[in-house]
Amino acid sequence: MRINEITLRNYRGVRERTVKFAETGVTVVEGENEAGKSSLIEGLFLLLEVPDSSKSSAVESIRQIGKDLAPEVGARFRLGSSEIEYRKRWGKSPSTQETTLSIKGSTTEQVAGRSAHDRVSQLLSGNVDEQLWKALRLQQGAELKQGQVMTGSLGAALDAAAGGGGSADAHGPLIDRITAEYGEFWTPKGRESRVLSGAREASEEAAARALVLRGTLAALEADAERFDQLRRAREAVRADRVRNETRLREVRAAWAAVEKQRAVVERLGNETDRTRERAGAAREASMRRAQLVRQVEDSDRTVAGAEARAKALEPEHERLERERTSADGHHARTHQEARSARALRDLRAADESHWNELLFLDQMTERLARVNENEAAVTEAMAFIEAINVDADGLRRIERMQLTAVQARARADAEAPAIRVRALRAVTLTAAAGTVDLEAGEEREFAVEQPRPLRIADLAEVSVRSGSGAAESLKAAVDVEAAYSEACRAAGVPDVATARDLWERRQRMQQVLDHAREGLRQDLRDLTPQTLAERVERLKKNTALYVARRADEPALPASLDDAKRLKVIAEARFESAEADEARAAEVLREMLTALEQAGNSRRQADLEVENARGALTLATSALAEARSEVADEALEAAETTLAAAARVAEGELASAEGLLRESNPDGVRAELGNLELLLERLDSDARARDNELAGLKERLSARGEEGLAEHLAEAETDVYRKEQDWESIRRRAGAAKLLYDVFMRHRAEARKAYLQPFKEKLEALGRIVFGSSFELVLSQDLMVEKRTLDGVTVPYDSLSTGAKEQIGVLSRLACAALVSADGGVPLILDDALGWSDPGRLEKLGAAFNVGARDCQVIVLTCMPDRYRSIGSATVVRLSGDE
Amino acid sequence: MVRFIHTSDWQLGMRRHYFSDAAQAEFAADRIRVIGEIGRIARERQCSFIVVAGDVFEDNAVDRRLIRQVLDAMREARVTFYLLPGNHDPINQGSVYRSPVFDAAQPENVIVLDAGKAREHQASVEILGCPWPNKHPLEDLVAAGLRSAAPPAAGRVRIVVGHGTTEAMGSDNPATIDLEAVETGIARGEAHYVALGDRHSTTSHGTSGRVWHSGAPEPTDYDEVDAGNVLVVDVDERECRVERAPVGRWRFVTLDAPVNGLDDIKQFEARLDGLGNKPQTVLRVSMKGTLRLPERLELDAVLERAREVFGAFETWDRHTDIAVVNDAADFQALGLTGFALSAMQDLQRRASGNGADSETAEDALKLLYRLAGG
Repeated sequence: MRINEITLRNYRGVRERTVKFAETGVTVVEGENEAGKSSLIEGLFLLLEVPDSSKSSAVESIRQIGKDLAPEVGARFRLGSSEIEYRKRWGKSPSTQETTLSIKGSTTEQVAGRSAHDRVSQLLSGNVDEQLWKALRLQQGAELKQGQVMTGSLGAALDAAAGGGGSADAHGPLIDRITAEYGEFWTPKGRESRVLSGAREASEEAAARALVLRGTLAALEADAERFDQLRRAREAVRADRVRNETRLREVRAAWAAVEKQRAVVERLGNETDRTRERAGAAREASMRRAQLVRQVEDSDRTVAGAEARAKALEPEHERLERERTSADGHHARTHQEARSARALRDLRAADESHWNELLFLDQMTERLARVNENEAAVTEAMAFIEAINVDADGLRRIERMQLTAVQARARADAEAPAIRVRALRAVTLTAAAGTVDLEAGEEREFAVEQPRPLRIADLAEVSVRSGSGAAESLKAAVDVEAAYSEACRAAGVPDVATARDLWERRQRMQQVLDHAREGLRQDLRDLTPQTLAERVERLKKNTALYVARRADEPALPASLDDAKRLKVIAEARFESAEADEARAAEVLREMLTALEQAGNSRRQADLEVENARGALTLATSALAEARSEVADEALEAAETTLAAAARVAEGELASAEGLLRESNPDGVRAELGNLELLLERLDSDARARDNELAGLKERLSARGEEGLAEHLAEAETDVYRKEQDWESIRRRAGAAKLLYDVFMRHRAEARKAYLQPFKEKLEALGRIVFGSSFELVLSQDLMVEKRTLDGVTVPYDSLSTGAKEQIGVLSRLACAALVSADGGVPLILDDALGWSDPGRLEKLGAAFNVGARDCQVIVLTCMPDRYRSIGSATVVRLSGDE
Repeated sequence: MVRFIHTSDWQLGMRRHYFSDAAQAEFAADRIRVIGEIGRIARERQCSFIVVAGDVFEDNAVDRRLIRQVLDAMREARVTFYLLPGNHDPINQGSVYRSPVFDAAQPENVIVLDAGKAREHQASVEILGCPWPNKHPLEDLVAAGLRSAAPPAAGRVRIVVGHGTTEAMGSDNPATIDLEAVETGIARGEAHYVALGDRHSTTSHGTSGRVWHSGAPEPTDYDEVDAGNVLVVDVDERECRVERAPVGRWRFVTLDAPVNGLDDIKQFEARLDGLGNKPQTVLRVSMKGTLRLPERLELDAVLERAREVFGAFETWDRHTDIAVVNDAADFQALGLTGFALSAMQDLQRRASGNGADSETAEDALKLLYRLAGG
């Protein structure tokens, strides 16, 4: 779209005004406030959008107050290749309302009235991107933000710039429809919408319902089958019971017969037992008699054997007695030898101790002598040290004071005035110190220590007064010297040299003292000199006593070494004698043990003989007594008779037991028990089945009334439909998602490609204004995120208002320039750039010059200076009264 | 000579889940209506009675209102009905025939053949029912029925009513009816007509001409060859005449259509238009061919219209294979440019592959075509 001309008539304060605009480049419309600059653009929008019959407040606000003239706007503009002349008059009555339209292109078209309005609306919607049209119109006073410029036209233009298809339509509506379709099934975050999840859940729920019903119906059918099975089983149980009852009667009869036979067996058993007992008693009596006879015979043999064994032990006992006597003698001899060897060994050990004590006595005596010597040295050294008053600190103090005194005296001497007199002829001088005679030419110097005149013969008296400094120095020297003398006196020395000499001597004496004390410590250790002396005395007494008391023979060894040697010999002899004695004692002990055992054996054998004889006596008398009661023959006859009777009774019992076994009492008992339990179980089984049958019958009757089969059929139909729905929705959702995802991905990729040309254009314009280091970071939707200048990157929001305004204007200019190839829309700036300084405005002028080369820019301003620097601008000046 | 009607497999209470609610209601109503129609024929043709050879009901657990409706319809028919419990409605404890509703609503002219023994119908005819005791009998119930019943008295016609498939149909079910045994029984005079149910197509078995499956009075599925009949039977010891009487209104039709281009679609649409009695026609179509996207959308529209006019309509997915080619010209017309064009080309590439993703891509292309105003 290109605006060529706008005409206003009776429009607010404007009677009539026509403004022409350059098709490309910048047209600056200058005029003071209220000159009607903004009315031009407002009028154009009213013309394009508001029908001539409108009574809207927008139309009412442009009417001239107090006049009846209808406001009118006309415009000439180009859309694509069509030249359009369009005019509207908003009369208050239809007769004064008018709309005319003339279109010149490949064909010519003249339309009027409402049709004209509709035709223009149609043309605009087909050719002008409304969003861009709004984005590129900067109204007076509106906050200058970044325009949302990613609109259809720009998108297409950028698409073209990025090598796309170049269509004027960038598929906005299609994207909207794809998004709407996607939105039906998916949330913006890509989760399933209620429609999609609802269809799936409905399908699952239907399937679950059908499953439950199928289960219920299957259970019903199973119940019916179970009922038939149960009924058959119940009949089988009944038949079983009848059969088993018959059998029970038979088994009970068999059990009665068994019981009868068991009584017979029991009676015969008792009789047999009694007969057996009597036969057994007779047999035992015979056996006891035979045993008595055997006991007499055995005792007889035992006596003879014991007597023989006692006799055989005697020779061995006698031999052992003899050997013991011999062993006793040998043991006594070895014992005597051991005792004398021990006595000698003890003597030799005492000799060695004696010699050792003598040696110790010598050593102690020496230690005592050294102790006495060192004690004397300590006493002497300590007396010396105590007599001297000079210690290390005292010496250092005297030395320091002496040095100070010398220094003070030297300073006083140096500072004291002096009179040097040279005699011109022989003269006598009288000074404080006395009289001095000087020869001609002789010189003499006098110290001026006190204000006492120097008399030169009788010729003159010379008085010299010394300065106060000299006097002070002298006084200081005298004070210090007095302190030094006092220190020496206190130390008991005349001077420092004496003090130093005394100190060194004291040091030497201290070493002597330390040495003596160390000697004492080593010799005394834990003793005192007195205990040491006592010890020496005790040793002397002991050694003398030992010699006195010792036997003469054998003689005392001559030395310690001899004593040690003799002790070793005595010990060896003693050990040998002691071993011999031990061996002899062992032999004797063994002998005594053997002898004791032999004695025991003999006593044991004697006892056995005695016992055997007693037993024989007892057995003989018992046998005689038994035979006197019953003779041997009577016993044998009774045994034979009773054994025969027992055999007869046992035969009868075995026969009765055979009959009982044949009747199989265990088998009959088991079968009887089993049958009784079986009948009980069959009854319980029959009752349980009856109960189950009754329950099943009731359940079948109740469930059969519910029409389950048809409910299931309905549920399965529902499953089928819900599955179909779900499948259909799933497919639609899948298609919508894929379409949406693919479109969005491709659009994002394309936008990435758009970004570059827009960025390049904007940066090119920006470099004119901000300098060659100007760079930008843009978002996907072409908004400026960051600006870099001279290597410093700043977020857009942190930029100054002026910089934001300049970038805002430049981004619109870049947009307008990019879309201009396909017609685009004009960039309209209504009093913008209020925040920009003159330097920037000048550079912005250059940027406008370049950027607006191929597009239309309309600037409305009351500050002509702001745009003065746009070289190629077409300037239109408005005066207020046109 | 006795005349009666042989029918079976009413399967009342049956639903077809691919029917709409309205079609299902009409289907159900027609299946009750046909009882009246059978009664009318019986009266017109002076039939003594009607035997229903099993599966009167779809299930033992049918809706109790249906039982009343069915018994009412039979009462109004004013002819004696002998109903045989079949595999769908066996005479077990849960049987519909033992339900309190059946018991209360059972009219005098309705007799359930619930025991395997002969039942006299007038002096000259006896009916030997071989009911299913449960859903899984372990023997040939007809053979068992013939074995257990003494031969009919001389001059008395015996109609045996059974349910199940015959050996000729190649079943290894233990309850399969031994056709040879049946024919032997007929030859011995133990049976004069064997009325069978279970097979929904009208079928004669063996060589005697006395063994028939009547088929269902209303068709229930696509694979039924000759359904929709009842049989009017004249029989005595000497001869047997069987005549089909069509009673069904519904039909199940399978159409196979090639779809290669708009002409085929037009022809297909004409074939659909040519089918009469659409509300009672259940239609299944299988289609094969290659279409461009706009053609595919046109076909979808034709199918959608068919769905509205036929009693029921479904595409036979197992036998349908339509490839959609993405013709460049079709998409050029949409005027897509730039990223929209590249996105479309991306989808075309995906659609030309195999698998679920290609199907989704094809759906996405269809959607794009529609949204872009194609």
